[in-house]
Amino acid sequence: MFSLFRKPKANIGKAAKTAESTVQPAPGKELGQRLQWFQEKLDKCVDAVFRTFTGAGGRQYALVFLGGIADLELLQEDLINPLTSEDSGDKTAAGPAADFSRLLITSCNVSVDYAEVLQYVLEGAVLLIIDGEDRMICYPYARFEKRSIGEAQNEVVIRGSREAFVEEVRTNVTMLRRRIKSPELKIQSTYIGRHTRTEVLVIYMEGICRPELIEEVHHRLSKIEIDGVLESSYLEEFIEDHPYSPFPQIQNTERPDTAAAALLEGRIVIFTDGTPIALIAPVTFPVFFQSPEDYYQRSYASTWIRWIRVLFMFVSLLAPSFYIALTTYHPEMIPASLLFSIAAAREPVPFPALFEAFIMEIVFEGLREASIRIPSAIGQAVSILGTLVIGEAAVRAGIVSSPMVIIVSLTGISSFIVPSYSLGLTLRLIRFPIMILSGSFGLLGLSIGIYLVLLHLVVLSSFGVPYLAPIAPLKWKDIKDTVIRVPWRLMKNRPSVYGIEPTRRLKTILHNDGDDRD
Amino acid sequence: MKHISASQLVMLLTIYIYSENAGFLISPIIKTASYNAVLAVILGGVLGLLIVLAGAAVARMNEREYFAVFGKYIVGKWVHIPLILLLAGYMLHRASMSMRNVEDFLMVNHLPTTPETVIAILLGLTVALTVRSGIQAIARMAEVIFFVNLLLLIILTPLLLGIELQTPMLRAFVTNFDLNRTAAGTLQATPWFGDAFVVLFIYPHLKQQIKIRRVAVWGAVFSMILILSYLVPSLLAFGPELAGKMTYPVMEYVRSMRIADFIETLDPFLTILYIPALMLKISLLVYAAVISLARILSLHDYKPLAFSVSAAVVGYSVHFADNTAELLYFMTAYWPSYALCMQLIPILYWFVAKIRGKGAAHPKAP
Repeated sequence: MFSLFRKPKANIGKAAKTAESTVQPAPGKELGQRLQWFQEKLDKCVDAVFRTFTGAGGRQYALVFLGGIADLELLQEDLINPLTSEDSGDKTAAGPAADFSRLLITSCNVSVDYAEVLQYVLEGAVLLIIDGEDRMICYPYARFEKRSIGEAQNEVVIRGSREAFVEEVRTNVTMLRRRIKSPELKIQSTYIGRHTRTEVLVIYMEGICRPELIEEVHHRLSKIEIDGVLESSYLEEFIEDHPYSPFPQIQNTERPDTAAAALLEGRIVIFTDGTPIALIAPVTFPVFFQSPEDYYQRSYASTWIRWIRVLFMFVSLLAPSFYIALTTYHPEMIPASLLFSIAAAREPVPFPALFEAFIMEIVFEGLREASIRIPSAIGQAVSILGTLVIGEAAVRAGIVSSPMVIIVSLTGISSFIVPSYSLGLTLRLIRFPIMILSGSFGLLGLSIGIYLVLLHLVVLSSFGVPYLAPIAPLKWKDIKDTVIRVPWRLMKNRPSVYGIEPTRRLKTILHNDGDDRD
Repeated sequence: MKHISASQLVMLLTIYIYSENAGFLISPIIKTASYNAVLAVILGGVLGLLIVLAGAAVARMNEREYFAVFGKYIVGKWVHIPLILLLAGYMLHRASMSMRNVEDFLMVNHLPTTPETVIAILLGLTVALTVRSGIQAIARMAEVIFFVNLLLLIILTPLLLGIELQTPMLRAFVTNFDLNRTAAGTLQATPWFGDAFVVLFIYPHLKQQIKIRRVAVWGAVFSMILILSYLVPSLLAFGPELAGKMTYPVMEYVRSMRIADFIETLDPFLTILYIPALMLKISLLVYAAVISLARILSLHDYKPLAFSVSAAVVGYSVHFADNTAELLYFMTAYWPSYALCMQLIPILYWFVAKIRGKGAAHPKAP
């Protein structure tokens, strides 16, 4: 049934740096030979820097690093100065650098494996090779230019945190740590991509998250063998249960509060270095209709907004199909006065309703895609030109009818009401086959279309969790945060489909008497 | 393998029993039983439930294995195989009959110019995909459809009350008692409910802690309520004579509804919500037949049979009857006795197993 119980590969959880590296044969004992090995490996790499210098005690040292990444000031102050200074105490044969207890930085990596050391250098570390010493030391002096923490662009809220993740995973981890100050918050690292060696962090709450789920995530990640990972979507497509389904089976977010909430529900968050988009698994279909703000506003308002989202999800998916079916096959349903006005509007249009809807929908999709790429300075003007002028002109020219323009505009706007952009895209896509079914079979086609979409949804799962849960299979306890959003004081338990028992969330329930204080 | 929970099975049985019966079998039963239709449905429900419970009792003799497999341990291979083929044939015949009902309904009311074969292929494709998706998907679909139908009933009830019903006719339900008509109606209604014996074929998929008797009772009660909620208003609106002569009295009744002059007629809208329930019923029948055939043929996977068997159902449905009148006549005159004969076959196994004693449903130890 589900593949949750497979054993993960043993190497998961360790620093994946050792995963591919095999101990390279030593190029020789001499400093020159060892440096030459690195020079050969980094041949034609203009940013690679090789330096040799003599230390205070007359000992030879070599440095290998990538210029532009290494912090030169830090390198000079923390490494070169102590090694070359006469006061460094390097009077013994071993010298300070060989005395590993006196290494200046706690997170130095010491290794005799050349391939491993080379990998550290490529990640921005400064390598120190000491003459006569087999062990090599890598100093984490990398200083990447990175974007500062900004405001969430795609998941905007009125009330709630403004922070959004950035491209650097370690910064993202600090944002989570700041929210969840618990030792149960576990973070495991792995590296994926033969060339990119992208760091991927798997984050979960121990004691809340199912151990089988953690193992399964590691197992699926460990199976990925690709040359590069440039965005979390690469991983998403590899680890989802049904890769050929149009529906997203893993949630993505740029908001730390959403990720933290997911962790507290027993779900897993996956960070990928180089992208601000975190993955959250498992996910169920109703989650895509939830916005972080639902939990920050009053429950009645949040429930109402959720219903509106679901309503407009149906509008986005079905409005053109319903219009086509009604006007083509079931005009008897439409009140006479409305039917006359629709007929009058459609009279000059030479195309059948299905074709008309297709033209308009595709033009609208085109305009929407163009509006993303049009430079912002002229964006508004072009949008107005595109939507108003062309729309008006098309109606006047008798190419499309005005009811169709209304339907298509409504559909277009509705697709953005769903908080998840990925699901919005899917809804836009599957609207077209349903339109064809409606154009061919009327409301029967529409009904069959909905049925088939539903059938697909009940078959889907996300890491073994049924996609339509808690609706099908029905979990009454979880309805409190699906169809409705109950007040926080009634949110006694976590969603039962994700985490492990006990799912208790509230320890005690406060009963404020609400009496006036005179 | 143990996928289906008790609540899912209740909803599945409810949808399974009520869907077609509420739509297409109201007219025959009103024609047969007149004012006694309500009583006939209730009695039919009770008798049908007994058939289902007998089937469930047989299934419980070997909870881990399909009936198609363990049946041979009870009655012997050469008796079991023809009987299973008969039962699979019945289920496919039943599925074809249901599909033909849908086709005729759609052709008469909504798609008069669309060729019947095209409609049949569309429906067949839907059924095949559902069967391929498996029993878990069917059970989950039942959950969604059940709630949609329930919601519909809640929304429609106030609207239905707006229609003028001849409530004095209610008295006739008691005063016009006629034993012959009631018996004939009961004979007609029993196999509607007895059709739920299909649970025998999917029993290994039910979660072990399920109390099957309780589930079957709830399924029968819910479907009875739903059927009566359509039957009684139709009877009160049109009277037994007119309703008996109409092919689709429920639809005629719904057609007379108005929603504040916003929508002229509701029946196409109801069709959208009603067709999925029917598709699910047909799919469950085909699934039960396919899974039994697959076991008889010693196939590990039933899925390759899904499309071919569905195609056979499509073909049969198109050639089932020459016209709607003939179909209705068959459903009223012949089908109940045929269905009852088939539905009582598991009772034969039950008797043989009781005579043979404990362990009759398990292979003999070598």
